[in-house]
Amino acid sequence: MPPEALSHKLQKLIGNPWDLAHRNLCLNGQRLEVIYLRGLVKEERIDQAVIGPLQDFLATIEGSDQDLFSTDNFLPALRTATEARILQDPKQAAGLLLEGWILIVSNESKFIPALYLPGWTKRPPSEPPGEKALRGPREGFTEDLLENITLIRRWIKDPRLRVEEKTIGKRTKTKILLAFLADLASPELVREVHKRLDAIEVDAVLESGYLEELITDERLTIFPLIQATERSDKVTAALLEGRVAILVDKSPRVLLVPVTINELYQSPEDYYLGYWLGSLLRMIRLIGNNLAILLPGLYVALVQVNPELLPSHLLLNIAGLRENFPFPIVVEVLFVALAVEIFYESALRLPQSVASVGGVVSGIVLGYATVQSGIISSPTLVVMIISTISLYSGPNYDVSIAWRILKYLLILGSALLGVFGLAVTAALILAHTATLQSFGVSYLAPWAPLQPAALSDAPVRKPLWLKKRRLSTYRPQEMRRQGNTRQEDISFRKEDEENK
Amino acid sequence: MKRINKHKALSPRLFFFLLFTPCLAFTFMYFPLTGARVIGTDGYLAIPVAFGLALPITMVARHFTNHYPGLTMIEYTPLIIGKTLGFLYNLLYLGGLLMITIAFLQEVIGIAYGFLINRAPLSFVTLLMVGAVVYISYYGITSVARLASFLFPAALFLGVTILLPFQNWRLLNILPIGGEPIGTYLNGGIQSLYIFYPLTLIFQAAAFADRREKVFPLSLLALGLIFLLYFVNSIGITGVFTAEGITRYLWPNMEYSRTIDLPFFLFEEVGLVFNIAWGVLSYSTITIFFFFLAHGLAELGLKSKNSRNPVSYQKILIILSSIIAGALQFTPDLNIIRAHFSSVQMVGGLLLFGLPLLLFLCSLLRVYFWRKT
Repeated sequence: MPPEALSHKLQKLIGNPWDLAHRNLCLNGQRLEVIYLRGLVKEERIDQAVIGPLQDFLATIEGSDQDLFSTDNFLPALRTATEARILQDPKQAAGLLLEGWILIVSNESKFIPALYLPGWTKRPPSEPPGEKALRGPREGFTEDLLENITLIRRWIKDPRLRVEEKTIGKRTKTKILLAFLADLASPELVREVHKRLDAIEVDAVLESGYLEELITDERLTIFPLIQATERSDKVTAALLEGRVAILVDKSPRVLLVPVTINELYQSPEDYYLGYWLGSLLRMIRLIGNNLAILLPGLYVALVQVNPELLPSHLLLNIAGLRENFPFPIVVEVLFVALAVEIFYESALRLPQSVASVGGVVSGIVLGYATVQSGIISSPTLVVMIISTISLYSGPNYDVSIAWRILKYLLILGSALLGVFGLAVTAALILAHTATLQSFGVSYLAPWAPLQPAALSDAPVRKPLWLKKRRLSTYRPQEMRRQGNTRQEDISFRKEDEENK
Repeated sequence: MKRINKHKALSPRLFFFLLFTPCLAFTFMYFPLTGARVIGTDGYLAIPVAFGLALPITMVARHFTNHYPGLTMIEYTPLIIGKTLGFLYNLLYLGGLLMITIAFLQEVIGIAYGFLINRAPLSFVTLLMVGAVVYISYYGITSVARLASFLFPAALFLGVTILLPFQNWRLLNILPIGGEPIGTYLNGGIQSLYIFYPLTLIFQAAAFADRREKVFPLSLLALGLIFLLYFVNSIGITGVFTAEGITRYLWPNMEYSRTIDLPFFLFEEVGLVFNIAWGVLSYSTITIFFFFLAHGLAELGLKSKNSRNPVSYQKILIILSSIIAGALQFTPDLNIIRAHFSSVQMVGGLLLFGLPLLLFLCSLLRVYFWRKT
């Protein structure tokens, strides 16, 4: 096909975009055209990686009657470091052009060689701001799919690691990768993930959040039924438990399925810090989460509706401190909660330095001023500050947001019916979570249904030398995780005793 | 509309909690009353007698589970006694279940209203309770059982709490032992049998268990644990209040928990937490009752006018909840129910334990005649 004809066809297909580059070449007497989209390819390397090898190839076939780019001839002879393909269909060629491929067109061939030389700007892997850890790797996923899968490959050097590709989005043609360990992940789970992804018909997938919403088991729930993370070690640990990772191009957040609510309170860091500290951290998260959710409601219930249930000295103290404050407790609590929400949103948008100053001003100065001016009583402020700080003690932001919203339900339940209202609302939330499933796994596992073996690693962190079997929660194909890790130690001791 | 796949819906653990939670919560707040009233000082001995009387029910359940695997009692009754009789039998049985559900709901609302929310309108509390129950029952047996399983810590808390008042326990209060004629103990045991009424759920729940061979041992385990808890509790409460003291209270265990004195506890009394723990277990119990009631009615195969298919249990659940919520508005208040408590107990016993025993006899007779002919 003459270069002009293909150019014309491409122009018809993709318009004549501003960033479309045509380079007309005449190499060894052959008229060629190199077509690519600027910005998507490494322009400075085209000469070295495309034109140079092409010239060498043309020199080798001079005088031949064969089609210039016939598959048998061209691909083996083209010595270039980039991925190359031979196409015939201009539509397919246009698709690859939009993905950052370079097309070579000649009037001597009906084939269109395409070479992959991506060159868009990437950010290097850095520590995810929302999932910081004291110990452990500092690398998080980026927006580049290849980079992300490489991060996982650098952890798992197992030939059974499978990476399967899909394209979703009629217009965005977003690449999706499914990663799992073939001998661990349950085949039903992998099939189910494929099924749900294949059923998606949307025009755009801009972030993994799109998929999260589309493939979730229960669309109306507030709880995250799919785990999203930016930490490569978290994804690796999940794959080793027999779970499936879904990577989405242009999104640093990798999705992990299935997930349980218990999983959302665990961090890989728990296993880096030793089991005593790891267990302590898990307990703190559990206590923190419960404090965050229940404390404001309990405060409202006990002080406003059921004061008779508080010990008399505590009740008198609170009553003394609340003297002359005009608003009912529930109004005070909602007022502070709303103020905290606003501060939180503002702090997210403000530059870092301004945000920290703003935090001090709002936290200390404004807090002091509201108490002094008789708007909010100090016990309310203390309760709400503890609740707010505790809310983010967990390592998962999505579940914190769910609780952040449900906290208001609990406050309202308490304000209406006191401690009974709090208990009923909490039981309802619990009942709701009992109905949830994530890819066939109970959301409350290993608590309900009770799985004693998995439970031993739930509120506390199980020592690594006792983790001989994988969690049954995710139904892995192979349960055995490790052998006797103390064998060397024991033999060493025996030798020592024999020497003595 | 969702349909329940009975096959492998309940793992052995979920099956256990499905029996254990209702048995624990059902009469926990007031069961010592019966023994104390009927027998007196050693009223706690009514519990082992009742336990002995309830044991045959598990045996009967075992027989039916083995002979009619994967079928609920509602399904196999017509196979044993014929369609018409079976339908009537099932209606009576489900009527018994409905009766104890309403009586239990009345108790729960009574406690909530009496101790925690006496300022809220009763109708509001009723609607809230029934609405919350329907919500979870609607999602099926697995969700209902999962909730029961997740609430195990609350059951554990109740178990620990009944040990704490032993600080005020007096041996003299439970003496003399065995001072009454045997007939009195038997009477006490029969009258206390209502403690184990939720055990009747095995006849329906067994069909959902994924491991049939575990149904009998798990039922025995649940029954045994409940017996142990109730027996210890009964001895404890008699030792603290005396039998005469127990009869003064509407909810003796509520008062019993109030005797716990924990210094530096956040609340004025442990009783509140005790009440809440029992409250959430009761919630789970009611969801279980509601589910089996609705599912049982759905299995009767009732059809609506314009449909060929039987009405789904979810639709029945919604209709049933409206009826129960309405009935609760008009049922006599708790004091009147308590006054006729023995009649409620007797009718409940006849329907929930008597009918399955009768069915068992029919089944044996049927086999006998079949072999003969």
